[in-house]
Amino acid sequence: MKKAKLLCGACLTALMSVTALTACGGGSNGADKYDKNNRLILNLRNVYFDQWNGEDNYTEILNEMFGVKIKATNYSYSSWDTQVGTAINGDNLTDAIQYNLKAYNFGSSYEKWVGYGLLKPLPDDMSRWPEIQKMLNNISNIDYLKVDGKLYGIPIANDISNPTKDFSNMTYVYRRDWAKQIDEMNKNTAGWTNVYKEGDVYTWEEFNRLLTAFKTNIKTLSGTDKADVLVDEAWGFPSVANFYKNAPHCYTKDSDGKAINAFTAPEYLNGLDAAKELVANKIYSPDQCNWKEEGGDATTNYLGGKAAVLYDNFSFSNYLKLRTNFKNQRKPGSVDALNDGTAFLKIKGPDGKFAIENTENWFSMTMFNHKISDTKLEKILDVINYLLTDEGTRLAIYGQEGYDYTMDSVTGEVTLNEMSWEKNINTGEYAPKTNGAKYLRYMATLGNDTKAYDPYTDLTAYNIFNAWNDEMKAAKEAGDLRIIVEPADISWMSTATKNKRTKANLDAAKGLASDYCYGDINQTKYINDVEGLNGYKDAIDEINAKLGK
Amino acid sequence: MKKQQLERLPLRPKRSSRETRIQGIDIVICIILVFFALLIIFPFWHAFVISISSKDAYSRNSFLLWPTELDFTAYKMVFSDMRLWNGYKITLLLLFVGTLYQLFFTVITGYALSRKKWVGKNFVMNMILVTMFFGGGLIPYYYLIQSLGMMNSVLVMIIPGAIDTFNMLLMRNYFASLPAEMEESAKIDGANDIVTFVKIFLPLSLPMLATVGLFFAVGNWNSWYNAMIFISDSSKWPLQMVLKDMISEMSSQMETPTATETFSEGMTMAAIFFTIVPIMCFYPFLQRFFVKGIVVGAIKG
Amino acid sequence: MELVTISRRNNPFRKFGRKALQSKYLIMMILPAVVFYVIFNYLPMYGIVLAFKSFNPIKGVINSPWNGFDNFKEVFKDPNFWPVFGNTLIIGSVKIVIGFLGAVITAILLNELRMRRTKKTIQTIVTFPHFLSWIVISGFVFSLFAYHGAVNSVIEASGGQPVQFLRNKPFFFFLIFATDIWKEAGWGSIIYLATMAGIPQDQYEAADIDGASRLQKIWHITLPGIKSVAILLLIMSVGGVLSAGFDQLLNLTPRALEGKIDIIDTYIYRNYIGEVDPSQVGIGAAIGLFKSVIGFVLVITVDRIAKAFGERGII
Repeated sequence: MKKAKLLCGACLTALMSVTALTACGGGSNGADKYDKNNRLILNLRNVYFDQWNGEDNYTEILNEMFGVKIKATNYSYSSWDTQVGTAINGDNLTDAIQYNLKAYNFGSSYEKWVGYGLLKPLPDDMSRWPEIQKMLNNISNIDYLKVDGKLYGIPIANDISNPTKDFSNMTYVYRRDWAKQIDEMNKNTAGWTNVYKEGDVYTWEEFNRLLTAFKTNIKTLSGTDKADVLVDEAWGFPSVANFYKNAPHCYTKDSDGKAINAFTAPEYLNGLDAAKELVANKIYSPDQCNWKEEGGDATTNYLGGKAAVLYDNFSFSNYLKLRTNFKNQRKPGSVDALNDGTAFLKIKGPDGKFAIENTENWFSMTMFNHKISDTKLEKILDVINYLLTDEGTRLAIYGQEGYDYTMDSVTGEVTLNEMSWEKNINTGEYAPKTNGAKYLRYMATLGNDTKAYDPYTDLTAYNIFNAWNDEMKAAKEAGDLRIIVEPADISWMSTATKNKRTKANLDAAKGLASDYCYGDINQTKYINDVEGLNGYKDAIDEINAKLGK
Repeated sequence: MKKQQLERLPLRPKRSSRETRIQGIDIVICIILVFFALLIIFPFWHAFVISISSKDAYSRNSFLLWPTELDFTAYKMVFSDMRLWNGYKITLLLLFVGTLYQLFFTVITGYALSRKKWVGKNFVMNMILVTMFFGGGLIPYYYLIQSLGMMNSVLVMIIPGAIDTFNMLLMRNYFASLPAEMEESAKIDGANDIVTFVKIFLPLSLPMLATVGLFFAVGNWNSWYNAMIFISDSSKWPLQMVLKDMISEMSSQMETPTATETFSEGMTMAAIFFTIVPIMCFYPFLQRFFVKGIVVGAIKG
Repeated sequence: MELVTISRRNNPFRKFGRKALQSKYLIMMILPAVVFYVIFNYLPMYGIVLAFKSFNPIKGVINSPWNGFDNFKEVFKDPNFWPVFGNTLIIGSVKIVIGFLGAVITAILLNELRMRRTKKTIQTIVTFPHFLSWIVISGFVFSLFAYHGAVNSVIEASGGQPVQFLRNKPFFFFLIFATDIWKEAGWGSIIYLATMAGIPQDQYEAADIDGASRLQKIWHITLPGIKSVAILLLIMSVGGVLSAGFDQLLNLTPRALEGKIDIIDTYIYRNYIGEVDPSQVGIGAAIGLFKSVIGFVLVITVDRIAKAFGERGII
């Protein structure tokens, strides 16, 4: 009996203590903890840490240098939102986290988190971290990212060496080999003018002629009747409307400067009609948007030899990924054939200009848990700052001086040590080596600034990519490039309904646009449905009220 | 006598004096069922053929009945991926440790609830039934896991699964279906409830233990949700989570400096087979346990 | 003195203690379960209050400010919610009906099949898909029904026009139900099959003597034989009518239909959990609570009705 009483008592006490523990919420992450060598533990989480578990010699060098113990974990690509969301709602962020900023929906996450007090701001005085400060100076629209004058994180720069670039890499690649093949097949046809244009620059008429020629010959070229001419990554559909529309997202302005619905603006409707015609002619893949993201989408079709033109975000790393996969899956045989299989396609729209969506030179941001101490924040910034210096960059790219590479003290020329760098004799490629410093550098910049001298860079691909960029920059200078951009005063405006509904309505409107292109609904219904989306009109009214229109 | 009680439960009807001559209707029934079975096999077969065919063969014709141009690169890629093997390791851990742990708690609970009236039984039973309808949601659960110190630990995939209400009820119904006289005779001999359970009921319920154990095993094999929410260290992810992450293609507008290989259709299918083949191999042999278990547990309930 | 003794004997606590002592070993066995349910199910249950609060992650669940029924108001005035609710009811109830029919028909067919070997093989095959995850099944479905998928290949080969299966809403509804039958019919049939095996053979023999046909025997003997089990299982499934298959919908919805056919669970997931906005948490909790209450009430009601008709309920 006594025993039973004791037992009951013990159980009750245990339960009550657990209740007390659970009810208060709030995670234990963020507190200062030290490892057995008395080094401050830094918990960092980033979606780009995917092939690295946080431990290797190069990370250890940094640990020793700064008296810290770096622990790295990665977000799952497929469940990034859920993982960040649960950590946010549980107030249990790791010391540093990474998340999207979503320029077109600025208010949705970052601003609210700051409002709740979940993030720790950067110190006002950044003079201890000159490299970070230098980078921040080159971040576009940085003032809009500040809340009450404070910046709550480091926007991850796409390319710090190229800060003025304001157009995105969302563009087309195409099968140049197929275009050439069509000309070859038709060279004896009387009156045939070549569809393939030297330099891959096409006017609107030439582009449409190319598409038609692809359509006629696609079966011969691909060896399958399952092939399509034009495929867009699902988020980009219908990319052809880019050559008409003048707003990338939900809102735009009419000639009076009043905010209007971008999805029902006359220019966009024209663009949709152009896309609809391509769908009707089966030039646009009828398979578009059918699958889930997993497999079966545009890129998979292109790599499967089942598409001639692909629209995607071809940043250098994504372009390189396409080339690598193309090489592995289509086995082109030579570098020239590989180049021909993944050539940039440069199209001038009906107005005679290239058209590319605008981009900021950041996409996501490294932010800090509000609970971390100043010392810890300083340590993290120390590490990042060091990795942005020349010395730190060399650690990230080449490794340890004296072991992985030697540097000529006069010319600064770097020689890799063949003992430490394994090279494949046949391909000339270096065997992959995990370098934590390189991954950590992704907390501040995506590493496009180091591509030119990174031993892993495929220089052929890099040159092709750079040539495209240079050409577009030149076109911009010459006024031949139309950058599709949301008016800044709308883009950075924060209103209740806009913040809450913009992302949902953007997705819904894109869905309706695709329904319209595929003939599921007619134009009247499309316009009514888009304008009737929950909160769309309210958001526009709020914007206009703030704009004073 | 006990034996007979068990033997009465089998699936197949005893051979009876019912006509055994095959009639026309039998042929029709047979055809319908075979058709249904083919309908179930076909997607597996088709996926398998895709996984071992070359990409060109698949792109020429997506309806493949037989493998053309055999190509095992998809499997080579999948098998050489350390992340999948690592996931296998974790999943095997869950499979053995997790299953035993869950079995232990589920069985003793089921036994206690199967016994005749004792103080508080109804209360406990109702308490358990209510949880089938109401829950507190993810956030308080997240706090709970946090304060129990199970964040980012393999334990989070094991501990909270101690008792599965459905399986516990199966177990309870099974124990309740065993004849009460056995318990009484043991009691007369002076054995207490625990001894009775261990010495008499447990040996009798081995087939049922196998059933419920298998349910748990399959559940553990397919689990990923807790890992996604609570485990940040990807080296602790179970197979299904790794697979989910690998198949999901980065088709966002985002730049991916590190991701390298895009899964092709063939690789996706190969990866799927990588995870379902173990179940497929064992299932035909284990099927009778599943069947017996669900029957006993649910009917007598 | 006497009075004291009487009161001691009648002391409810002592009575309880004495009774508890009698079954102390059983109580010891149930204790881990009680602790488990209290910790993992009852402790987090205070989260229900989130439905009446405006959640602030810094303050935590307990200290977040109350906002009365604002969350519910927000949900019920959301024009997207009622269509979602309707979808859930339709999908949920149709799935219960066809799930039931599929299982019973499969069971009857298997029961009537006289070839022992074939029967066993077929049973193995049709029960297997129960163990597959929806991730795997969605892989199968997309490779079959995509525009360039296997089914369209066959249609084209036989001279037809390919069909946009995965853009088509009615087809998607069909797909939800078809995959549900594909996955669960065989598994569901096991229990009916076993019940059928328990029907006394003499009933069939008597019917044979009366010259009953096979169909008549099914109608008059087999079906009444499984009636009570069927009702029991139906009652159990009614409580889940609003959980119309979260995992299935989430994995099976093609990109083109994303957000167009939602059930309550996927709607919460898409709008209130998958997003990283703490201010939406209360609304998600409100929908969840609404759903739980309806499910609970449904089960109690159906249970009462069944009991009124003389069947055994579950509660």
